[in-house]
Amino acid sequence: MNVRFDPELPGTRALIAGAARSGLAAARLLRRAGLAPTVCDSRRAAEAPEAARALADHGIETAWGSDGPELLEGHDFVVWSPGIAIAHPLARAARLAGVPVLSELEVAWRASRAPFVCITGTNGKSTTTDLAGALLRAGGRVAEVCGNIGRPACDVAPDLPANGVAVAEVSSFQLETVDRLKPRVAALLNLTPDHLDRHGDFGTYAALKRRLFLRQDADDVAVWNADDAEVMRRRIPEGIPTAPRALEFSVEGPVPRGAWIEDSAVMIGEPARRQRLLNAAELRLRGRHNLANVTAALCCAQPFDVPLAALAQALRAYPGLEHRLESAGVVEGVEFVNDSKATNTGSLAVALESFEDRVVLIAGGRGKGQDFRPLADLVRHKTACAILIGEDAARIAEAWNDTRTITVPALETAVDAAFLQATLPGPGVPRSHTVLFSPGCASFDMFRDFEDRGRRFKAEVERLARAGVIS
Amino acid sequence: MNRGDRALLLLPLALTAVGVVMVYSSSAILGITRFQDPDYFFTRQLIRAGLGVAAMLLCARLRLRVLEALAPWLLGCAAVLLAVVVVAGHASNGAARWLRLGLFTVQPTDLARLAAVVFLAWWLKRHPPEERGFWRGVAAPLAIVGGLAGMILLQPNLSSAALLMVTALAMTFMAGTRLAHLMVPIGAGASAALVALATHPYQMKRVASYVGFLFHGSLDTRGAGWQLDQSLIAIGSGGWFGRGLGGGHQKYLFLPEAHTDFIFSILAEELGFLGATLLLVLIALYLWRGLRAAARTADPFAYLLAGGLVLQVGLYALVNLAVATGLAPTTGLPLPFVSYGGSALLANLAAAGVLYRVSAGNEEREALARQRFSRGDS
Repeated sequence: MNVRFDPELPGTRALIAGAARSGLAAARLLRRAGLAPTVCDSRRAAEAPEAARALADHGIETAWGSDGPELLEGHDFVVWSPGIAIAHPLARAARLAGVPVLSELEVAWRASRAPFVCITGTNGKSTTTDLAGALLRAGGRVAEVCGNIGRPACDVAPDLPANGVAVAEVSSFQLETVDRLKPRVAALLNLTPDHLDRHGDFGTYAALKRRLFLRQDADDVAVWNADDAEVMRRRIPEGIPTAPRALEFSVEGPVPRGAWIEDSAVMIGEPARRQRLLNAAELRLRGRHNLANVTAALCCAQPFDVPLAALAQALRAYPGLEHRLESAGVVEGVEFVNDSKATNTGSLAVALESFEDRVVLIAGGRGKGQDFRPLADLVRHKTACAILIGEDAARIAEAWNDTRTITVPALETAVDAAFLQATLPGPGVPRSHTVLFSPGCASFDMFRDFEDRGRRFKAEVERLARAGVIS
Repeated sequence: MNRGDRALLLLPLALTAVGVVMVYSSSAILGITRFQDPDYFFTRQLIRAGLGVAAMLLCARLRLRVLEALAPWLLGCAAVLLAVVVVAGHASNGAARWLRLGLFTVQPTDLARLAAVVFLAWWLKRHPPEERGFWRGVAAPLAIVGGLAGMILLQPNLSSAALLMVTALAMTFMAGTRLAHLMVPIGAGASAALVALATHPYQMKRVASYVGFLFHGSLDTRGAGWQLDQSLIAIGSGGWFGRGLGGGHQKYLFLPEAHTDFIFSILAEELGFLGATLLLVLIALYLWRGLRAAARTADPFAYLLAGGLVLQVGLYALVNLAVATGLAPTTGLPLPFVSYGGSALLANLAAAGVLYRVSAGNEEREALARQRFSRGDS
């Protein structure tokens, strides 16, 4: 299919900074549009052989091992990969020279006929994005999820039909380099101090989030988290002619227009014309933070007229993202939950708070110097017992000294021990119905990455269900 | 001492106040992202406005006779400062224009353009072109000011140098030069500008982008066209009444130089056609009152001085507004009184003080004349 950019790109000679996934996608797209981009990367070709081969196959010019300002010579604009800091000397030099710097997302949006749903925030972006995609598909739309999860926007968006939808997870780094991006729906999920290493401070981080909404007009929808004071403080005021239509979501109770949780039910509409979608207990997603993600995703799908029955059914069926509080199976009445994505104590705390009853927790790994003591109270209240693995197990056991902890050498023993602790607790201790695998640590001491760790956990659960405890 | 035309003090104060508010509105986001401080530019502009008002009040009391005596010395100081900038300039934006003096950085260009006006008024009063002929009355003063302009051009700051020469030409015209005599420097200046453009690719690119926009209607959005594109978005999205003060979108790092050269665009975006028109009315009133003061003078020095100072503000405003709206190629000139920038604000407020002093002299003389008339002597 032909690629047409609307608005047009600022010139024909593009320099693409970064030969990672999104850089390669942008290069392929521009090549398809008949342009001749140059891709530069600070690595040498030998350090990224796959990328080097892919670029060579497409006949795309490359500048390996270089990221200096001299590259700007002969180029009209720069396409910036989300993985490179915007404080990089090349971006600064481009700004001084008046050379536009556009994010890969911006280029994809200009090439797309389909509208964009853009979701940003500190936490919950991936789940909300994925769920919004699922809701739109339930309504019969061709919806593709892109950005951090799924494929790069440049690979996906240009081939969507005009009545399709691109659902993009947008990081604040990308927002620094959007220009005309005008999302049909833009959502700001929450604002908490994070990623401050690259933005310098919270004020900058929060101010730049607003850029997602500034090109919207009255035909577009802005989605705000009514429960987050920092978000509400920064929303676009209504009442001016160009303001986007505002929808809000809340897990605390009714909002003027949007989606909310009320008496453990998921509601949408307006307080006067409220519609009950389903009971929160019917969701496979668990935890209060996921209720926020569900209501946010409902707001994102609102302008696309998905029937209520389809929404409810899609919500009931949605399993969640892999390794994020994902159900790994039930063995003799004990549910195993894989939360391998929890690589820091913050995520571990969120996971623990997602459960009403006491769980058996499996945690540990490489602690990255985090302090585990602040979690001690929560762990004592929420767990019957904690099984610890990995190189920092002893340190964590010390930090949680008023909780019963068992340190084991390997994942398979951890799964068995957790199962036994859940089904055969000591005298006077009630049975647990859940084993939560939420390491709160990096995985690199024992596994390739968190995905490898999560898959190994699921394999062990399967083994347990099939063959029982290793004696 | 007699009262002068108080509009010549109040209008600059009003414009400065508009400027401080607009600097705050347009720079808060940039301040947050660059210095973690939304008030960074605002507080600096506020301090400079305070200094500027002090300078204005000081100049309003400065006797013109003193200023006239100082004229050649002022020119000398300006020339030395410009030379220092050229030799050991402080690089910024690919151009060396600033001089660090303790806590402040000053642009000697702004001092030089005031000194040049004072000097020309002094010289042309002593060597009226009509009597002294082409060499003493036209060529010599233009050559001296041309030297200053040359140093400004070396920074390189083509637009400021060009405006200085236009001011100088206009002042020799005001002093009563034959048009034939003016044709020589105009021709020389035009060819110098062409040579300068051809040898400065940075400016040539901007002119080329402008010509494309003006004659083909197509905006080349790369390089300099990028700024204009963002500026037009700002002005256009303001509509009749604007998005509301503080409600602009383009200052979220979309429009570069939003608080300096393109502050008018942010004003138009936030206050709309109405606000932009009011700003133009304020500027026009100031120019009118200034020209009226010049027209009523009796002394050639005061006449040329006032004329030159008013003209300079008018030219800067004209070019700045033309750039922001795409009627002139993109160039870095501030909007007088409004744009962020200490030296320019200080120079413009000081000039306003001098204009007030000129108008006060007029009042004094006219009051004296009325007295004599009513007593029946003279």
